[in-house]
Formats: sequence, structure tokens, C-alpha cells
Amino acid sequence: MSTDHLSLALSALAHPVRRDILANLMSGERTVTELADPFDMTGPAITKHLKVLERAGLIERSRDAQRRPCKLRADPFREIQALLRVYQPFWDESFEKLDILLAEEDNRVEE
Amino acid sequence: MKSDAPPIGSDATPELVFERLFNAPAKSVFRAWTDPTRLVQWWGPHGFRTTIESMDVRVGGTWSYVLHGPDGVQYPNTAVFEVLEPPHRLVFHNTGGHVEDKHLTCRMVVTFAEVRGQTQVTLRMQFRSIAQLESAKQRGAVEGGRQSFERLKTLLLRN
Repeated sequence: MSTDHLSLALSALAHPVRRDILANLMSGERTVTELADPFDMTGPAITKHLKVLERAGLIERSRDAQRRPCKLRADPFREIQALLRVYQPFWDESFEKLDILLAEEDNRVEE
Repeated sequence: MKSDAPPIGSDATPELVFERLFNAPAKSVFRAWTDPTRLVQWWGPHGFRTTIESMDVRVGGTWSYVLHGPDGVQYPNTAVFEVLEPPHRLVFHNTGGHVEDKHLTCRMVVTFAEVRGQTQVTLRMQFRSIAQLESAKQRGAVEGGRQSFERLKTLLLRN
């Protein structure tokens, strides 16, 4: 598997728990205990997820504070955004049209 | 948590995930993806048109299509079906040009989950190598990277 940072970041995002963790970090710094709270998981399991996120550069943990809270890092998100800028409109607009098609077919069945 | 979640430490395939809930049964949504007369009615963003040259809907079958841009530019694509499990799962490998990426090569994994007459579609665009990501990345990056989490937030909240 490739080691460039965009691939690493997307790989890290491919796990639902890690996406949830990132979503929680959107509103600010969190400690490991706080991050583990919503999940039915052990501390070490959460720590493993955090390590994947850290290695991908998506989060960082402060070195000095004793609580060592986690926070988001902006750089990789900027690159992911660049990718999304390409594909998000493609699928958003296609899916809008699909929505309309399905609604039309539904009406035809009812007639 | 989904049961198909990859192991914690694994380097899962780099992928982009798009989700949408459709107000129709899975059977109808799956058909819209695999019936050429229906597919051309929605595939591609506004202003684009899709023509299908051939569509052999079976595992190993080929689907050739062209996206026609509003400026007349054509983007020919060839896809090969890897998995066809109506109306639950569809996997195909796409090679060719997409709207903003002339060299789109990726695996598209589409799942259709019906709940009370509605269908949740999850589309995973899986990229297999750095090279496959690079062209798309550069295209998007040219537009400049304003620092905003909004798009990602949308993506995360959908998942």
C-alpha cells in the first residue's frame, strides 16, 4: 500500500469509527477518554484508531499537557477537499437526477 | 458499527464515500443503475449527456459509455462489472475519463440498503494507487485550497 499522505489519509477515513472520532473533534480538542466515551470499545482499541489517524496526519496530540488532548490537523483535509471538489458535484447532481427519475417511475406505477 | 468494518490497524484502500437516501425500493434503484435506458437519464452532472455504446450486464461484462460535456468535449469510459447482486450490491471497475478527471481509474462499490421502502445508496470510489489519485488531486488543488471543514463535515455526517 502506498505511503503518500493523501492515500494514508483516505485509508484512515475508510473506517466508520475513525470518521466518528474526527466528527467529534470538529468541535474542539478531546482527550482519549472523552473520545472513547461514545463507543463500546476499550481504551487500547481507541488508541489504535488514534494512532492510525495520527500517522495519516489527520490529528495531532499535544506533547506537553498531561491530558495529551487530540485535535484535528488542517493540511490533509485541504487535500481531501480538493478531491471532493472534483467528485462531489458529479454525484450530487447525478443523484438529484436519479431522484427525479425514481419519482417519475413511482408516479407511473400509481396511475 | 458496520460489520464489514476493516480491522483497526489495517491500511484500507483509499476511497471516497458518497451516500444518499432515495425514496424508492432497492429493486427500482438497482434497476436505474443497471438498465441502460434508465441509466442515461441520470448519469452525469447538470449539462452533461451520457450515451451508452454497449452494456453487458453480467459479471465480467463490459459497459462502454461516453460523457458529453456542455462544451462538446467527450469523455469515453469503459467499465467492467465485477459483482452483480441485485438489488443489494454492484461493483465495477471504471477506466476512462470523468468530467473533471480525464484519467479516472477506480473501482466503484455500490451498495443498496432498503429500509421501509427507502433505499440508502453508498458509493465507494476506491483508488488503487497514488498515480490514480494524483490527476484528480491536482485538478481540485488548482482551484486553491481554502481552509474549510464544511465539505468534510458534510461527508462525515453522512456516514
